[in-house]
Amino acid sequence: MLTKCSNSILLGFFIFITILSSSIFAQSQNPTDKKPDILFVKYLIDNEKYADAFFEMKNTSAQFQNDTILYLKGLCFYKQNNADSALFYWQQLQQKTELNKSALLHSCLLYLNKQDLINAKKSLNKYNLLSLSENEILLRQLFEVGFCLAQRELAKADSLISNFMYDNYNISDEQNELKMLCNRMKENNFKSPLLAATLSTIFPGVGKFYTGKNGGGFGAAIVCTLLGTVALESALKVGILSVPFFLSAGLFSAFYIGNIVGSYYSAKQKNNEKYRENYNYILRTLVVATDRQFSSK
Amino acid sequence: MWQPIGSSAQNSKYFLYADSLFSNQNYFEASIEYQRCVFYANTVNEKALATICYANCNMHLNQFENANSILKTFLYANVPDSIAIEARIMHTTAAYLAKDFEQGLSQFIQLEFLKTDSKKVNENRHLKVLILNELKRYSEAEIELKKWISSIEINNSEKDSTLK
Repeated sequence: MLTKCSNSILLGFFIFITILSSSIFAQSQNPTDKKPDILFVKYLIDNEKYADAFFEMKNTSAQFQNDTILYLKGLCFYKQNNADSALFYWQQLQQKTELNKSALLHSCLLYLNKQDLINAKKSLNKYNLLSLSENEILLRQLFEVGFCLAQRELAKADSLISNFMYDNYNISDEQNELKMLCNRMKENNFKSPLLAATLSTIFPGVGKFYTGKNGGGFGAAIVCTLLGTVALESALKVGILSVPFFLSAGLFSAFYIGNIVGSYYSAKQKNNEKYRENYNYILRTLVVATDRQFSSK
Repeated sequence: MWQPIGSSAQNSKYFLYADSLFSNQNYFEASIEYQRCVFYANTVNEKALATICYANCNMHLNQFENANSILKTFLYANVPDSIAIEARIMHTTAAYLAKDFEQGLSQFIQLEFLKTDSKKVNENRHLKVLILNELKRYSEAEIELKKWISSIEINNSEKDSTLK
């Protein structure tokens, strides 16, 4: 009887130990249950493993879904150029935190990338309301110059650039780059579509030469001259009420008007290309400066 | 397919957890855990093992380009030969499946130069045959095929029929 009783106690003890050890093992099975591993997440983001980093953050407990996690989630999407998702997470950040500064400037860059200057300006205004360090103030000034250049407000940009000291190694390269861009924008004037159209009206092809499309201008000049000569010859030989004249004059008119319209749009296209080139240059400069400023945080 | 060797060599809780995920065929989750092992590795061996396991997960996820690029970053300095051989074999396989044949061939040639485990090299010689075949170096592929067949343990009649 006593042996039976001690056996059952022993069995119960073994069951208890087994349950206890299995529960301890189960706890140690998932070491990420407790809190998010921020260092590891940053390592994954640095190694461009955005999906892995997001999965790692998604799997952390709800109680640890703090500003850092929200910011890093947004950063994962920002690095993948997914503006909407990045903004979704960054807009949930609490105001007046260090992370919010970075999030606001990165949001501003995302809006600039989408050419949404209004929302970009709103993000920058929110950033201005925060208490900023010396470097962050310089970054804000750089953004303001970038905005002016993007909107072709060269006089305003020039006055802001005159405040640059170029004495902060963290940002002086970008200040110089925007200054040089401003000077370049002042020198290379944008082509006037109306002037291009007028020049093509005076002589076909000249408007295209003005916009820099020499081949097109040369071609238009030859075609229009030939068609004009044929029309003139028909008028002189057969008369203006003849079929050959109507055909050649019709063709000449079509090419002549087409060339005027073409010159107008060539100038517009040229301006857009130049604007896009400058815009990308501004954006790249701001991205580099922002990343340098916030990469260490 | 190559089996995880982390659990046999490491007592780290991350390795244990990663191996358990791998055993349950949760390869994506396991790949993240192996990356954690790489990140927290204290020794070269730990890092090397975790990297191989991580690449292996990518192989199971059919992400051969990823596995190939992971193994390109593998540091062979101060790594024991047994681990280096495993890494070279896996890299050859990953490069072949990722259609990076030159890389695969390079890895196998380096594996041959190690010469510490000729059995393992001969067992995987078929990879070299496949790669040479893809590179249209048929005469070399034939020589390697003959080498492979003569090294594997099958009876002579089977060898002759395979060679024909």
